[in-house]
Amino acid sequence: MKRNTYTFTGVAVLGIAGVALAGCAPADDTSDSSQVSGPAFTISSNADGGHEGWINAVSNSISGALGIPVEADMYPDFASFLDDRDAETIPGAFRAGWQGDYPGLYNFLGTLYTTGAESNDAAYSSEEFDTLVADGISEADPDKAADLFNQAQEVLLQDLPVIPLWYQNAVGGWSENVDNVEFGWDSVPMFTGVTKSTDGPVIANGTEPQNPILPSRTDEVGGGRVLDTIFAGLVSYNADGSIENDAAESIVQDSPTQLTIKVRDGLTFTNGEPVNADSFINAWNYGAIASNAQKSTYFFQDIEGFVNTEDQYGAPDEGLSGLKKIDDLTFQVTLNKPAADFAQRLGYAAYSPLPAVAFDDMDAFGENPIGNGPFKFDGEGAWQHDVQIALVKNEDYDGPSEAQSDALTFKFYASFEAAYNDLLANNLDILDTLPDLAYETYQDELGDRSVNQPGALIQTLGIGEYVDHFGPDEEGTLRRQAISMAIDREAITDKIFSGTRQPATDFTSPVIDGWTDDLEGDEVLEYNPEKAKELWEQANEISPWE
Amino acid sequence: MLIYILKRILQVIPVFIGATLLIYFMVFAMPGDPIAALFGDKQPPDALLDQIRAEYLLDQPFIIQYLHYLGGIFRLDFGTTFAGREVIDVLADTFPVTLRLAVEAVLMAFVLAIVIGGLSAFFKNTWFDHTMLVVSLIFVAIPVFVVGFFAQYFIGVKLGWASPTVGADNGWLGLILPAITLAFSIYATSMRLTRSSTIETLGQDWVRTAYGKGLPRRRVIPVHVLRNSLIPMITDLGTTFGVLMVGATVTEAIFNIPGVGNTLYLAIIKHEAPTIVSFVTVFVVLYVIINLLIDLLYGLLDPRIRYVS
Repeated sequence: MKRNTYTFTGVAVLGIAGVALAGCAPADDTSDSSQVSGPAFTISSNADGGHEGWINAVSNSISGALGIPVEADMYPDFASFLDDRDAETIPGAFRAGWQGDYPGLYNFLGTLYTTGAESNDAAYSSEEFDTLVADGISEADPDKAADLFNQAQEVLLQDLPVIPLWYQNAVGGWSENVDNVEFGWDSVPMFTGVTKSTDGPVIANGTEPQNPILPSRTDEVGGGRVLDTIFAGLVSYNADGSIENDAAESIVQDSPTQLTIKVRDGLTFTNGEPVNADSFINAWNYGAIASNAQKSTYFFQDIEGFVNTEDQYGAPDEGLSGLKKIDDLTFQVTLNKPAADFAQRLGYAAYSPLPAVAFDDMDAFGENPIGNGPFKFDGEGAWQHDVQIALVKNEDYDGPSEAQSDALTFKFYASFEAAYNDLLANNLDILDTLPDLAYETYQDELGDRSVNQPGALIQTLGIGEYVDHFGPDEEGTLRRQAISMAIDREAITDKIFSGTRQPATDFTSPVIDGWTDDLEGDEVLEYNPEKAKELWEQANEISPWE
Repeated sequence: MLIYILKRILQVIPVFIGATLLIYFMVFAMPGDPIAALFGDKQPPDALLDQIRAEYLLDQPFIIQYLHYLGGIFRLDFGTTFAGREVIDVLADTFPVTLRLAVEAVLMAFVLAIVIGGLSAFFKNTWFDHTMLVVSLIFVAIPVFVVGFFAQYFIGVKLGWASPTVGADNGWLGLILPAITLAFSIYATSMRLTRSSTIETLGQDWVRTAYGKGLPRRRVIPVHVLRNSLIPMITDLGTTFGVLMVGATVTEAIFNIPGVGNTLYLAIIKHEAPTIVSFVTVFVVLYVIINLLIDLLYGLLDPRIRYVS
């Protein structure tokens, strides 16, 4: 309890002081220098995310194995950390990670390590990797595609643009008043299946949405979970990540670059408007058009007509040329590059349909959205800002994830500690993330009303190719492998995270279809201090660490 | 008197401009790009970033941004948050909650402080006085988050007498637990202040004169002693109230109260200039007004205090 409390108070003070102390130096190191020599290797992160504990543990582990000083380099907040990361001026490793947008291997690989990809923060570039990923995404057979993606991962294991650390589990709990709580592949509870034995709505934790509730503008969890429950996309994800048609009658992949989608007949939005091909085409165009500057524009970049240049990111004002209406309920999607997993992506909320009324005033619509999902807003003012959003069951919804309760309220919490206390008092029904301080005790306090299962989230340490001694050459490769083998993942996931993380054996996540723990070369992800030291010495012979 | 009040109110103007300018500049000078941070670990393309930055005028030089903001304020437009809400709506939602919390806490702490402090003064150097001294020292030594977590866990979770968190239920009753927590932290100072000030007043000539005139104790204490001992207390009330309005952040976080502290903290993390500047500006103006009210109260309590124009 203490660590978090102090962290929070510290951060609160820091946050305010940060205004005054703009640009202050990162925190001092804590490693002792009795047996270490040479310049320090640094691990950078933001101080306001609760990362300091494990970063210190990783630092100590590396320092102990390699005999070099390792320092945690904490930025006061996320924004200043990103500034340096994106400017490629971080002098050592930096905290990185990825939460899967949809349960596909490509999302973890192509998006992050392809040459020139926006989120390729380590500036990695490998022709061999790019080719394997391009082949994988063009392959219609899922098994063959997974094979190609895993070969691409074996290339990554040799080059280590980022060092995989661990997969983050979904660790949540529920109250005595609810049953049938199941957590999905994305660590989000399957809200629609929950039943409540007492009166009143199912109350789940959430955070104040950072944007109007719009499919193309919501890109964070607070708004995301609301969006997911009030909109039904073409497909929806089952708990295991498999897909099932929702608003779609059929989705046919005509070729790696073309799909024909038929919308189910008779579906309506909660204002009575029909859900048809136009509902999707107009919504997607709105999200894609560059001048609308929507945050989720990225999801439409593979559709024909999308422009990605230095001055424009998105579709021209007339929309995407790759979306073609065939008849009232059918439309065709043409892609600008092969994406055999496109149908799988369609469960992501950014691909939700919008009723015509939305386009009159998007901001006002985002305040009181009208969807076609299992739940709907409980009238005007259902969204009490900074407090809660109240939803009620949408009786007209007849898709695969029909609501099993009459109402669902997302109650906003500024901290998981407060939410956990509410859960213990049965004031809160579902808490999707238990606070660190409860890791030791939650099994006693909640018993079988808790879950600790793998999620689609991996944490890594990125090391830019621009960092001295870590370039794309033999020395760089040796040093990356040495650092990776110097990290005792087992001990850290066990001691620091109390088993709520699992040591990583690849770059994706165990909940993703096609995942394997049997990649060639994955021994670089195992703790082996002797070998690490040996590799580090070999690198020193090429160019000394000084 | 009226001219005095007018002068004091006019003083708000330079304070207002100075405060907004300073705070705006500090937010402007914070390292890091707030728009990039909105995207989390995903790195957005520059073309999209530039467009969103332009929407919030973040591509403009400092002085243009500031003047635009200031111009808006005069039209009662405090700007919008990154989430697209009017800052004035956020203010209207959060201030009443924190105000309730502060009033509740101050009331509890001061009523108790005046009673206990007064009794300690009358019975000074007895066992009662000593016990109360030790108790107040314990109160002042325990940090507010310890009291908060303790109250939340034992009273809220274990005993179930009150909800462990506040959330939507932020009326007077819903705020009882956090108000007690805050009252804990401010009680000790006020109680000690009452005690010393009452002891001082009890030794004054006019108190002896009052008793000498044969006035009964029940008249001397409230009219002659209490009224005069309250002057330093009123100063204390002003500052305490101001501090609570701004500084209840930790308590608000523990009890999940949708008040100004929580909101301001999150805005600072996001570098959300309109929210930060508007909130701080309201704090400053409020502080100035509270202090003015307190200065005027002195005159009511002690006729010897006169305002010179």
